[in-house]
Amino acid sequence: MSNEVHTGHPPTSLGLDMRKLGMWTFIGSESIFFATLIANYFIWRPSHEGGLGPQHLDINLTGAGAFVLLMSSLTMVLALAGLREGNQRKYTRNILLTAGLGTVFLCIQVYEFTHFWSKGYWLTESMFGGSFFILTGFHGAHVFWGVVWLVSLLVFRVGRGARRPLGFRVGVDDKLPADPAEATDGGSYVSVELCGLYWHFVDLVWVFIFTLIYLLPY
Amino acid sequence: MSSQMGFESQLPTEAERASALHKAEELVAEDKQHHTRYGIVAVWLFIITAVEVAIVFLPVATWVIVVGLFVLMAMKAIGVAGYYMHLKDDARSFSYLFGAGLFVALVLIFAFAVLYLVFSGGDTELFVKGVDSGH
Repeated sequence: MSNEVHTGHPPTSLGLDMRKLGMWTFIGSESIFFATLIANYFIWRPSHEGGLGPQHLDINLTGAGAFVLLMSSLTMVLALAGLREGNQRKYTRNILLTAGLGTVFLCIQVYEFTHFWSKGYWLTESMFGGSFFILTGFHGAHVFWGVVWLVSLLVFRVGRGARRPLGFRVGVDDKLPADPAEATDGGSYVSVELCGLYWHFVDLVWVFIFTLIYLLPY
Repeated sequence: MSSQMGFESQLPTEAERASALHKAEELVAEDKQHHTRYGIVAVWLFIITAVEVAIVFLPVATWVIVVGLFVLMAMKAIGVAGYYMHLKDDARSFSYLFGAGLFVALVLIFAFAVLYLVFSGGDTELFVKGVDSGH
């Protein structure tokens, strides 16, 4: 068994990577989680007497945030492409860019929250405010965790020498396997891919929040 | 069985290596195609976001804006999930798994919306605009 391929995690009976399956299940459940928060927001939206209301939301600022987050999705997917090509510099640069853009988005959100707070609008002023801060706050927490995850990829050198399960680094590997499906790296590529899926999902949630919460009542 | 075979017999033959190289070249060509696609999707997402922001200032009926925003939102969501999350090219099972969660999420929002409209006496203006009209 010395030649046994080490994949880190065995595939499921469907032939799918177990961790990717787990991540997609998580993303599916997270969709429901955010749906409850969005529904909660819609229920309480009319209740904003004397507190934060839809008229206080700034779509120019959050539009910039939406753009920043969309661009971070592009850099994330380019980071994964860099990994596939065996281009570590491209991978590292794009992971850093993604984390940086995520941080810019968080700064925009912190500015928005502190701006409301300085005007006396907070969680308890109105039901609208409560549901708004909880929804966007939870999304911000997800972005924060995404940035931590991205940085940890670089700190723990995840992706170093990574090869995708169904391929390998062309021009880098001189020991080509008989079948690209056997070219594994202990799951390092998938580790980065999972982070990418999470990051894109966070972006996807903002696509919904931006339209439903910021643009719809405008 | 592989455990009964010698180590050397398990090494790839020249033909197998050539085949692997060919597959790898195909993957690289595929990657280049994907790069172009990622860029195009990014440009589209940017344009759609700009249109979304602009559409709310148009002097047209509210329902036109609402429908337009929903269509644009769906287009952006398909762009991110289909191309950036690779659902378009990945195993179908992942799409079903995500689709199931998304379906339940949409049903949940729809159910709440119906409940809300029932209790607000069908005041859609209140639901869409969030303007308090004494309810």
